[in-house]
Amino acid sequence: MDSCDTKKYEVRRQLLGASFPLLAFVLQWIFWSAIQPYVWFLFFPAVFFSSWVGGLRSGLLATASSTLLVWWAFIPPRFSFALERPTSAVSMAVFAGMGVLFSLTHERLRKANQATARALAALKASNDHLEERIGERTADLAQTVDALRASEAKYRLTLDSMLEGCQIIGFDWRYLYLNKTAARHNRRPNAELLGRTVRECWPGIESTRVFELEQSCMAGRAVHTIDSEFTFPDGHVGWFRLIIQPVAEGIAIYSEEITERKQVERALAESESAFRASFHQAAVGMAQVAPDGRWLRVNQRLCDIVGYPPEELLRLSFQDITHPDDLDADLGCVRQVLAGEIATYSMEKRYLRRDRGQVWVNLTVGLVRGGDGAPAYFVSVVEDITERKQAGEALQRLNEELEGRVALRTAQLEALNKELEAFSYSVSHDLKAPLRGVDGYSQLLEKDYGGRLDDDGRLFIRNIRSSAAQMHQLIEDLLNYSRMERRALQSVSIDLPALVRAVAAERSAELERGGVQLVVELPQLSLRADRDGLAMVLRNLLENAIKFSRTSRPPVVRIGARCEAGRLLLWVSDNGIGFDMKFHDRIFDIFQRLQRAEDYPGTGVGLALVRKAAQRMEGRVWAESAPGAGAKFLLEIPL
Amino acid sequence: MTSFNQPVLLVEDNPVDVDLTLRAFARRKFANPINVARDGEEALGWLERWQGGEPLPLVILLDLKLPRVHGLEVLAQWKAHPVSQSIPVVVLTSSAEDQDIAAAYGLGANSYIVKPVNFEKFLEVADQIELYWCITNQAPR
Repeated sequence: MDSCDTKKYEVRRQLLGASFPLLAFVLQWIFWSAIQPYVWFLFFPAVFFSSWVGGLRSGLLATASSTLLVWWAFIPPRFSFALERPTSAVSMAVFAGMGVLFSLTHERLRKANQATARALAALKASNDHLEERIGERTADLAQTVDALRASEAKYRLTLDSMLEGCQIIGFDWRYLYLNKTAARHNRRPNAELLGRTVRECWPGIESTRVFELEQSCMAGRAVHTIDSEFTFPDGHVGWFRLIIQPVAEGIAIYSEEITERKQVERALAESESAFRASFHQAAVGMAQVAPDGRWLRVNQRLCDIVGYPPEELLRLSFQDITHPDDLDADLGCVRQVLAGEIATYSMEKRYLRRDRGQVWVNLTVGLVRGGDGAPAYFVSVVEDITERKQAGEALQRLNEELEGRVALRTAQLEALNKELEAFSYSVSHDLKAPLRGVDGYSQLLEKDYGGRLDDDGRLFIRNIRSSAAQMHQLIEDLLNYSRMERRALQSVSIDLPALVRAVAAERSAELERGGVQLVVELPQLSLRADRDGLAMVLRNLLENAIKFSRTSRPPVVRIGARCEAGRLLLWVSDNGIGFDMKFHDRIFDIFQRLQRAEDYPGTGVGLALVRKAAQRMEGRVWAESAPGAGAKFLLEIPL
Repeated sequence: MTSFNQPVLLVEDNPVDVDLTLRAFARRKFANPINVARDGEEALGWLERWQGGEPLPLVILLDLKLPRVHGLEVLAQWKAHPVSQSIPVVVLTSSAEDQDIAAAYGLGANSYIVKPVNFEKFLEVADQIELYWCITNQAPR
């Protein structure tokens, strides 16, 4: 209802209210004869109804208009506003008072009615809102119930399919629910268990720790976690982690198989203990060292090597106990390893012992990196090599000493050689001069005074001269020998057959005189060697062969050679008197003779000269012979 | 042409060798005088004499192993001196060492002869020296 309508209604109500006194006036006018003397007879109800219908204002208007109408028309004197009796004034005052009271009372009633109507309207609105909310809430609830249903289904599905085993046991200890994984963990189908009690399913379970915890959870609603090893009826052994927790139905047991983890843990523990054992019992020093050089872990052997107790060593870094001279090299390697340029390194270095002594070690270092590739720690293996080092140093000292001695000895030898040269020089000059005197004056004696000597005297002179000649030969051979020792070798290309021919030609007179048959069987080969040395060998061997075969009939001398394995083998053989092999080594010694000088003249220098020449050519010479069976001399030299 | 007043200088320390050499030359009725120097110093002393006008020798017979100054040193000095450098020098020594031979020729020796020990051979050598160096060869005057 809008305010305009409300006003119209209000006006009509007041007009209606104001009409009641007029209606009462008309009726009382008509029926006055019957009503008189009760002037206020109809006007009380008129005022009542007027205020009832029109409210306060309408009631007051009706009271005023009724008072005036009655006063004028009915109170004597009639049709005048004069008063005959004073009681009439009282009755007017009472009527007016009553009229005001009616109006006030009705007004209050009306207001009360209006408040009630408003309150009712508010109540209704509130009620409407509540009903709306209830409707909404009901819909929500329905949704929640649906969601709950879906969630439960999902939960079931989740339980069914989760990797952990799940079994729910009721307060009566009967299995209420088992998921698929539980079946696998129990190693028996769920159907065997569902509805049966735990004791029935697992005889003997009462005595286990697991059952104890289950009981505790069932009764005390406490959550437990336990790792336990189970042996199944089929003999299978497995490790499981069980979480036992209270649920509405009783208890739930979640199981997770940890057999592999346990195996890994056990292997790890074994490996760790093996490592610990090998670390601590190692015969070499071992350590883990932080990237900054602090000792993180050290074994006893390392402590023994550096002379620190472990707790003291662990407060230090490797830099603290490294010899200052070796530190840079070590740090350089450490940097390279940290930079990833090299994986490991090995070095010999010195540690300073706690007692300030130094110890030589062989250090091998590798780097262990963490999962993120960052350097975690170094693993160092330390081996005490002090003894080896000392031995090495001693060896070096010895070596130096030896070298010094060799140098000294060489100098001595050189001096000796110089002396020998000077000696040879003197021999060649000074020894020959007196011989020349002996020989010269012997001859002069024989020539100038021979006539005064008898035969014995002349024989003596001849013997003196022959001795002098022999002495001269000896001197010449000695000089040759010492010259062979001193002369510089020359490696030149040699045509071997030509050389042999040349040497044979030198001895052609002797060959002819002895009727010697010379057989030369040489491959055509040329080689590089010392010509004079080789010629000297050939010359002496040929002379020897001629000399010792002269009694054979006919004397045969053979010269042969062949190359084998980079060496030249050259031989001179004869069919002469030969010699006993027991003298083999002696015949090559200087001044050694096996035959008497009058039978086979010689100085005993020839073969010594041959051996000397062979040695100087880095070869060797030897002989094969037997008494009376000839001799074969062989020379072997590198090509 | 042989100049009969030109001498021969023998440098030799061993008296036996000196005697035998003189005897060998005497056998041939060799007319030229033979001067003998008995050591290196004495040999070098002849330089002054030659500078002072003494006749130069036809030939010098020089031993190598000499007291005081070695024969090779004497040879070197003579061959380096303008007065003596043209005088023929025959090294007559017992040494047949290669190094001696090479050194002597290197210093300008005109001949190198090894003195034989055998007296017959020595006489032959003396004959040849006399024949060649004193008669055949024309020495500077």
